[in-house]
Amino acid sequence: MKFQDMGGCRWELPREGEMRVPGLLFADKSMLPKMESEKVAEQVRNVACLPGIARFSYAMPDAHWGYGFPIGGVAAFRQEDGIISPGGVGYDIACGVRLIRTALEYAAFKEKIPALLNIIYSAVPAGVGESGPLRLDKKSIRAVFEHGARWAAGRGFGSSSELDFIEDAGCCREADPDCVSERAAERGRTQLGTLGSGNHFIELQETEEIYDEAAASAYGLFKGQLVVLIHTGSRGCGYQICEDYLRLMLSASQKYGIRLPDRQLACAPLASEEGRRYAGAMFAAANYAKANRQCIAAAIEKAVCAVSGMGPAQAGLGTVYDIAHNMAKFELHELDGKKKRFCVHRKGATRAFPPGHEEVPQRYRAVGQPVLVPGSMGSCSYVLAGMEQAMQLSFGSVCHGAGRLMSRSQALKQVKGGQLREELAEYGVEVRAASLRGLAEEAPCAYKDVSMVAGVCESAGLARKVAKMRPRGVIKG
Amino acid sequence: MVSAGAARHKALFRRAASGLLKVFRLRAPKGRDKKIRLRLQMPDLDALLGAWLNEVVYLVSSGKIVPQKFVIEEIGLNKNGARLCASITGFKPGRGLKMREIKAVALHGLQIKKRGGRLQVSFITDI
Repeated sequence: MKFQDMGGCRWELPREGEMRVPGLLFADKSMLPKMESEKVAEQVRNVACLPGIARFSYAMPDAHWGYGFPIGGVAAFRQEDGIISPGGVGYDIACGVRLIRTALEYAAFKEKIPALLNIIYSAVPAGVGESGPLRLDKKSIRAVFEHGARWAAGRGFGSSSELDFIEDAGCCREADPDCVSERAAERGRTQLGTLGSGNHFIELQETEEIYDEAAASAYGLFKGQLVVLIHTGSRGCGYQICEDYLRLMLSASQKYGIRLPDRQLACAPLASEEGRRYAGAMFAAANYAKANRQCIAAAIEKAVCAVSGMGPAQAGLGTVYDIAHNMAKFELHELDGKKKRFCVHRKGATRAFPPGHEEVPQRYRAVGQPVLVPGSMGSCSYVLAGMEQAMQLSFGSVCHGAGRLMSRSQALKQVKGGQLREELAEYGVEVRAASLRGLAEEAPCAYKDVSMVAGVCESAGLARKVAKMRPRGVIKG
Repeated sequence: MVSAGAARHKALFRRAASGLLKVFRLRAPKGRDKKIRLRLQMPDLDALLGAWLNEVVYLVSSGKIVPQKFVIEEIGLNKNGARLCASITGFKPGRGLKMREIKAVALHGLQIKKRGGRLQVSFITDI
């Protein structure tokens, strides 16, 4: 496959065949062979064939093979003739990350990390089939779908003052609980406040480096600080919504004469009833995910207070930001000199809005939206800030993490969970895991170098580095 | 990646479901016996297989049943596409059910192929 070097870590895949737009990969030259061998480029080309796609079909530097869309894929579809695709969002709808800051210094708190991990591990159910502390009746689950993190804050899970620091202020207004199936609602009733399994985690981290003092100060970050990163999503109800609508979209694609290069790209026109219903259900799942992270954050904050012996204010607890990286959102972007409405699909990619954007919380508006980029448990994570150029280059989108380098089965062949836990302990990372096998699947060697991914984002002008954090305690589902 | 092969569609669907069940690595305390009947209609046989497998994912993940036997009673094409009637017998899991979390069976690359007179399929589970 021929990539054309566009400079600035951008590589174009020229239009050919049924592609409606070219592809655009953000990558270092050394990343391209892997992206090609993993069929990321092929998947970028498939997405480029979908109706109403604008500018480019994109792959972020952490992109790797996915189902239909690559993970790390971004595509914006015009409101008037575009489509919406559950496969462009993923099964774990609104899977995302939340960063909690504290006023505590890691070095002073180091000895208490095991105790803090133990309390969080017992308070936040992790692993498969684990149900949470809440049993939601039909009315309550509907309210969660409708109000998201606002529902949780209203019931004492965290503070309402933190909602401004959640994407969409904690609630997607486009959510329509009537579009969520009974099955999906049922699966959601017992899982609120649970972490799940796979790559989901809670990490206690130390802020190791600050690159941008102004932005770090606005976000409340400082060197040596103890912060907590949560990674989870909409759990079983999100998977069920995706599955329900993929079935519907297979028929809808036929009905509207949309040729699919891959079944997982099944979709419907944005203007269709099927498209409208999926959007309503997807936003409801996003609200569930926001409420889930809100409940988990509340449990973590309680644990920090218990272990530190401080109140929330004294411990300096607060939300830096909470943002999804598996979503389709209706956004205004400029195209050909005019502001137009697009449905921007980000599957394993993060929205990154620049300074001055009205969607960025007032407190951060001068520096840009925080972008949370988790690495593996043996490396580091980054906080980036959105930049103006990203609006033109990628519809305000950037990477979502390190990106997998090897499959779970490949990782299992190379790594033993028990040994990995010991190695991480020697490296200064305490681990609590529901399953050693699950731990091995998420071994650091299974992931790309997150520093390289963050570096490409910065070089391409998509986002700039603000802070780097090192994991010190990890909870894995 | 799970693969299954059979001479006929009924056996293929049954074996694919049995293969999927292994991925769950279920550890389930036995509760009362249970039987669930299913009817599915999809645009074609590939989509039908995806829907069938995802029904199994839903039933197991939500603790409705621990399947012990899959019976495909009827499978075929009609004017609306492809349809299936099946039953799953097993038991309702007791407390302490343990399993691997499977989000879904992906439709990506899920295609029934005929090789040397045998039907074959491979599918991916999203974990």
